[in-house]
Amino acid sequence: MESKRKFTRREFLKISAFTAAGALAACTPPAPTASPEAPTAAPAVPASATPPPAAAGPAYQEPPMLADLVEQGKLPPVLERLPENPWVAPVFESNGKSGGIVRRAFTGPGDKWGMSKICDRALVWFDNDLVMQPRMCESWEVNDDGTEWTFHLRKGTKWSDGVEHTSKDVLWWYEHEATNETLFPGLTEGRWFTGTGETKKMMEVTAPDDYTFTFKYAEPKPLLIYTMGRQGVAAPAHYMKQWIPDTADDPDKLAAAVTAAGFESWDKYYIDNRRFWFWNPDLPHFGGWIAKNDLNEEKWVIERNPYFFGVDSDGMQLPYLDGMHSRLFSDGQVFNLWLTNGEIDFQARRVQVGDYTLLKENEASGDYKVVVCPAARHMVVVLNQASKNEQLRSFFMNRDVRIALSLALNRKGINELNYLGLGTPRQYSPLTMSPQYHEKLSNAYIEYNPRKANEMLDAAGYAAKDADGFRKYSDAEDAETIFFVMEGQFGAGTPDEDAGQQIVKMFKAVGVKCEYKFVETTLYNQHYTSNDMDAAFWFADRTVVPLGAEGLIFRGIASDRPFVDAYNKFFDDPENPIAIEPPQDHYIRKIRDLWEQVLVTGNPDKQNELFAQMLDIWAEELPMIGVVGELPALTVVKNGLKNFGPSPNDDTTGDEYVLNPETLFWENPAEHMG
Amino acid sequence: MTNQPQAAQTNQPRIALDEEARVGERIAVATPATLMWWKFRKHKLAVISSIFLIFMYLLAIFCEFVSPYLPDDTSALYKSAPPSKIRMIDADGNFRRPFVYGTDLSRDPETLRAIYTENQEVIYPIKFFTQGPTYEFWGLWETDMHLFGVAVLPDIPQEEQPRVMVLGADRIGRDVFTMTVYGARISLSIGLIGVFISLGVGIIIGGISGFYGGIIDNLIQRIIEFIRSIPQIPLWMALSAALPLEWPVLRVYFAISLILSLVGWTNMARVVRGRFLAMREEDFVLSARLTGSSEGRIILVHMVPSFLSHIIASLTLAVPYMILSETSLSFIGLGLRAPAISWGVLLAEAQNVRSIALTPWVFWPAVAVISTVLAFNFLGDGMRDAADPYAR
Amino acid sequence: MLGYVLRRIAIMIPTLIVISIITFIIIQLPPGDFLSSYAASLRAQGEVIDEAEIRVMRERYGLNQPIYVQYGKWIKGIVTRGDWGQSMSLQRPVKDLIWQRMTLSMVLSVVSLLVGWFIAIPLGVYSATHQYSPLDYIVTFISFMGIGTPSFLLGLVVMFVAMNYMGLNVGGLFSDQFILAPWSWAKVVDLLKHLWIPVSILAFNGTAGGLRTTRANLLDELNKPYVETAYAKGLTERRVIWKYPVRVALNPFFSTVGWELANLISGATLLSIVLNLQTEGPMLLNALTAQDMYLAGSFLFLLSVMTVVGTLLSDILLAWVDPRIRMT
Repeated sequence: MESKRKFTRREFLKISAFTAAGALAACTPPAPTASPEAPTAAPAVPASATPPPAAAGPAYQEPPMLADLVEQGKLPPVLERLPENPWVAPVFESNGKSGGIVRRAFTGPGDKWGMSKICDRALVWFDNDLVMQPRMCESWEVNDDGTEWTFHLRKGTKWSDGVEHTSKDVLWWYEHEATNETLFPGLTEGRWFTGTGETKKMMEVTAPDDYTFTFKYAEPKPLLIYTMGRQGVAAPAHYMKQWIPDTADDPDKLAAAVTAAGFESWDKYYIDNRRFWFWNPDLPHFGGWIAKNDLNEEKWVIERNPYFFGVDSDGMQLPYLDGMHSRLFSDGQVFNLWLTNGEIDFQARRVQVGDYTLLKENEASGDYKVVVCPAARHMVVVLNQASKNEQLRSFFMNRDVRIALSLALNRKGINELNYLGLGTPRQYSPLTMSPQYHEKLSNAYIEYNPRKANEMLDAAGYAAKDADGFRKYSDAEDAETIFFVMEGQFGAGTPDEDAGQQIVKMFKAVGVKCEYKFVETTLYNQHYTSNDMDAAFWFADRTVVPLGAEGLIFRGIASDRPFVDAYNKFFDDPENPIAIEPPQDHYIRKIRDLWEQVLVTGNPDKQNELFAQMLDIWAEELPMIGVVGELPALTVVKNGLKNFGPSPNDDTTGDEYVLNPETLFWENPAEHMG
Repeated sequence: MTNQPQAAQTNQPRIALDEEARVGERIAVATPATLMWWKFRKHKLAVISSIFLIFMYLLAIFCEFVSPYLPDDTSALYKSAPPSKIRMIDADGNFRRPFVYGTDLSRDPETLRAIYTENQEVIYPIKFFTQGPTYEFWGLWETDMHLFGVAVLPDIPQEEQPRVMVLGADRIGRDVFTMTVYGARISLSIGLIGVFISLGVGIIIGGISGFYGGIIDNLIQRIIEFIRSIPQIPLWMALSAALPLEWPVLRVYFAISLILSLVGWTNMARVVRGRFLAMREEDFVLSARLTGSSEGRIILVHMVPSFLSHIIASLTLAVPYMILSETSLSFIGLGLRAPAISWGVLLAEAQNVRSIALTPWVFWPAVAVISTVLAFNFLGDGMRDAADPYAR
Repeated sequence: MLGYVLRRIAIMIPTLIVISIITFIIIQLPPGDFLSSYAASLRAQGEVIDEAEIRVMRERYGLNQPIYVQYGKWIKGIVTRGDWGQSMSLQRPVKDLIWQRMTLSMVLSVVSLLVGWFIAIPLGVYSATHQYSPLDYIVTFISFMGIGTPSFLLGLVVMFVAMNYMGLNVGGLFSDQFILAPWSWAKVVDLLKHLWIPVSILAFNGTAGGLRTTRANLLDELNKPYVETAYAKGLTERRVIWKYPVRVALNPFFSTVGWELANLISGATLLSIVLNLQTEGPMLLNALTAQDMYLAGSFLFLLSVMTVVGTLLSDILLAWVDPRIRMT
């Protein structure tokens, strides 16, 4: 079955090799296949460090949409708009044609990510091997212990309003925004400091010249590079200064503007509104497209940024697409109708796995293809091993119980019944293609063996049963029946909700009484915040480059998956009312220790090795019980839209945009002008 | 026909008048209840509706027995299976007792749509009062007797047993007929109490307000305005958070609908008040007052009957309204949810394009909702006509 | 009469004050606040947001202040500056947000209400005067179907049919290209092309209520002696029925019409969600689930004001159509 295609890392590499070849053909010297250690061993020399073909006076091409403006003199010609040495984007299939728009859909301001992930452009990005490469910067170096990071900007890079971007913008951002106590009391943005509590220290930023700047940390910060994929580290000083009283030319005008916009204070206005291009369409930024309106409208429109810093290998300024629209929808079914009617050109976000058959059947009439992308999403049973309920806590803390419950799950059955066989029975673990793939964890205790599960539960001291045949906490006469509620937030009739009910049946089959309950988001939220959650059936992602996601879920830091949340809270702040001290030999201590080491290890191989040790512990302890994983992200791609292929889909790697969306193009742009 | 306006009556043939005279004799000796029954009988649709509703309530009461399977009998073999074709004549042209053919499941390799083909080699006769999955009847005793079904094959797990699914199967192979019948139990019972509380409170308070007028009226009206302005959705959200998570879903829903009915009475109260305001100026109220009737007597004996028809009309709209509210609340995620089975839950689960396109038979619960609401309305209509005090 | 109205208005003020307080309390009853919802939505996106960050934000929004302080701030803004506060999730003044969607909401509600009445009253009169005739049964049957069909379900099915079998673009009140376009004749035509779906569904759902009430009341009235008298005087049937009984039978319409005022804005929420109509209803629901306090609170308060004003209007109308009602 075609849909059952599994994307192994090797296969994905093959695709990338093919595409890399396309990109390389045009630029010499060949791009370094930057292995992970490149940045530490020696300064990376990125592909784009070398100007495109004709070294003397590069022949860049003007996107047709802008040609008129240039002719009328309203816009400088492309050569003046591009950096001296623009970024040459690798393409998936081929270089393309400029023009046309792409239609998407979103559910409102809370769903800004579909567009923001397209347009937030930062210093570096993943290549097709999931290794970081320069994008906005020309190159970077890091010292051996990972405390000093130096980035080199492309000379002549422009903000989207045409003003040149220099390291002064970085300094301004550092001085007036990142370290501004009014904006960030207690310097809350964790990315920019090292240590915690007493040792917490903000980085220092220096800029030796206009195109170079250095971040200096008190302690090693080897994972910083992943932050730099999406996080901007510069503010357009020429524009932003008007929004801070200290730097504004006319503070009264600022105060008036703040009031007019309905905000109470300048800092609220700045932090919630002014610094985001999607709330503030006037804000200059670096993305391939700039906002035409704020996202509070029924249709959110973005349009070509004439000053984008990238070109294809033929010298055509990117992006290829003139713009994108995102249309507001309040109910997923209208979205489905749009999809099947071919009214959406490119989207994975909000497309549901359960609609696979529906979408496939309408491929011809809607004139699109469903591209099945391997996605990071796993369905997991989260047992709160730091529950307030002591009986339940000790039940869940018993490793044999967790293993028994894992063996009680018929994963193949759930995959077939609920997920059309599109997922893979596996534990929550890095995807096959991930640099951190861990085979042992993926397959740990995933066989269906209810008999063994029963034996293990009996042996673990939970052999006694009540009148209904459910296990009790002990064999004492008055012992309570074990019972827990698995909370979830899935919609009615979704495969996920149905799977939750299946899991309950399977747990009950080995004598463990539980319920799956839908809870409102606010309530779910309240329950984990106050550690009132017994268990959850929820999803877990970030498995494409888990290191890049700071091992968030593997460390139990993502508190909406609270398997050890109250323990973690104890380490952060023992005074926290929900904090519980974990036992001395608890696995979370080892995981935390290993992570501390990862944090100060500059060498990527060593990092991976330490991370693998964490996953070894996972494979032994099963902190969360994975059900099915590698659930595909269905990406609907209108026929004629090129340069997109089956690529891994995860938050860390920009969802459906890991392949640069600036290179998407229409085979026939004239048909897609909106 | 007697309660038709005079204008229409003039066109009627003489024979009808004769008949009327004869009927008149019988009327003279009939009790009020008999009179009402006679009048009710005339409303054909109301009679049909009441039979239909009795039938629905019987289904709901005996849902375990009536349905051939259990509501959580999922099966990968019957995912999205269309309704079974029940036949009397086999492939060879022989006449048999009702039967279904066995089915073979295959998948469209491209779209993964489940494709069911009849296997004419295998014949499963449909039996009545047959064995099926074991259940507890009203939680009293265990039995495996079902109204109908196909024979259970030995040594085959429940999910792989042959099935007869008269309304097809849903996305995870559950029998839609079974689900609909189980759903009836909750949907037809829950909320009725709420309606009656609203009704009672509404009449009393509305009556007081309209009858006395003045300060009391003013005060009650302000209270009603106030209660009506309490936003219900956040109230629901708050309540569902306040109720213990261990509570069964059903109890939670019941509790909340009870509380909400304490808000719902305002509508009734207001209508009653409007009528009272108009009516207390009527001569018969004045004469009752002058003859020294107590106020309670005036309200209950003289005034309430005179607008009973209106109350019944409102009530018939209120009962189905509760059934519909249940579906709406499920839709916005504040009502019942799986594993509870109600029509609202089933509709919320079916509320998507893939159900319409791939498994339209999962909308049978909608047919149940619509026909029940319809029947309730006709019933109320008939009752209204029967209780009409002015009709001759 | 004038004195009565003035007195009623005087009573409205304390009522509204109490309502505003209760509204404010109730929207805060569900656990958590905007920031915990916001943090949860970020977490569901996989964003890292720690407690310290939330604490800082909570201070910035003043959500850590006691509820009466927050209330005071809110009500002061409304009373002194007409400032309804700022939506936290949508980053705009509440007033602008409500205005933004007002036109479409009103167009939708008023058109459906009028269409509904336009159908309900004549049919109700016909049903009452031709009780148990075939057409009475048919009208009754269809109107009851309308009550029984959940609007959200019907909305989806109608959209599906309109798209697949009629080749229409569905979802929303405008085609893609007209959404941001300024008003023009073409845009109005486009609006009408989309408006028929919600209007006909709402009329289908809503007609029955009015129709049945009209029918029931009219039947009551028709049996009253004065009707007989009128007939006896030789008035034509049309004149007899429309002149008095219908007027009285419509009495309940007027006693509830005022409440429609609030409904005009927030009605048909479920249908709007399903049909993707960008009206006030879905925005209110979103604000409530996101716990966007000022947006939800101001919105609900506005609706309360309309309910109170509407009730007053109803009472005045009631007195006008039915002179027997004394205004005390």
